Amino acid sequence: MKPRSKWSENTVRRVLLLPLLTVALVGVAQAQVTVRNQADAETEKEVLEVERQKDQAIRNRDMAVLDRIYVDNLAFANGRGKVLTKAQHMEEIRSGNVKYLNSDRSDFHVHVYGGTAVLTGRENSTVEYHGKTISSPRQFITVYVKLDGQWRYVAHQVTPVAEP
Amino acid sequence: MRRILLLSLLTVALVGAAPGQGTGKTQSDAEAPAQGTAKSQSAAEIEKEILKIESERDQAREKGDNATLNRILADDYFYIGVRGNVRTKANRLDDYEAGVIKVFSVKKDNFMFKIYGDTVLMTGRETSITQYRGKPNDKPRQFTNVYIKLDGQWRLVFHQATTIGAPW
Repeated sequence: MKPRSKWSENTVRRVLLLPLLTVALVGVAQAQVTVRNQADAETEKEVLEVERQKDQAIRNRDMAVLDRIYVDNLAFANGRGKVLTKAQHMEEIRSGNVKYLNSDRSDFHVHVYGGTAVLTGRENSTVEYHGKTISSPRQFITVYVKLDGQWRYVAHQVTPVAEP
Repeated sequence: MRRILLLSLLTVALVGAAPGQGTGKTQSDAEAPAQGTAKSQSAAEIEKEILKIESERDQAREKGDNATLNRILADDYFYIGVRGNVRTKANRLDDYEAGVIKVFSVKKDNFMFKIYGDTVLMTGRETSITQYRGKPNDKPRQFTNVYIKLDGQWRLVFHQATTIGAPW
């Protein structure tokens, strides 16, 4: 019987080891993607819930809820490109200068980057703005950042959608 | 010895695969460590860095330099233009490639920065002279840029512009 050589035994081990490591490393990569996707999906759900609470608070003029959701140094630009502070924006809602007559928002997309979520969507809600009724479609962005465990509304901008 | 090495390697690999580990940021560990517009040295440095990137981006817009734009814009970059149109990075680069968009001069001011850890919100006003599909635009517009630090580099992930004072 021919004796087994040391070299061939090592080769066999290496051949066995390589696929094992490959499988393990592919598993690591897949697991990381899965974890990220799960976390992003959870973030999306949480952010959309905060967005819903914010919309409801605007309709109900619930300033306490808005104060909790908006950061103090909010960056807000309305559909006329006018920049408002948190205090100015909240005063427009509180005073009734901005009134939501109905709510129609759609086409939400949430892009998640760790503790930051960029939400975009389309709005067709009918709004009374300083006595003028607006119902034309608008495209908006809202940026949420997680601060002290809470998703906070840090920036918002609206752009009217032009006729094709 | 080999078995020990093999076991160690596999253990390291499998621990890396455990849920909640790895490089994918979870919500808790991704919370922004810095917030607001505090003018700390690091915030000032970040603003300087972002302004440098913005300058490079503006030059690339004027030159139609897609290589530079490709480096600055994140892969999932998208923007909302002044007509409310939503466009992707590929759309934007194609527009420059095809000459559909032309930037004749860049003028931007009134910058404000809000820094939340690896996220920077930059807002400002732009009065650059541009042309999109043959239609010139020199109207002032308000913009928001969102920069995120990805793999150690600040990348523009989002841009939105709204014409100032336009009928709404």
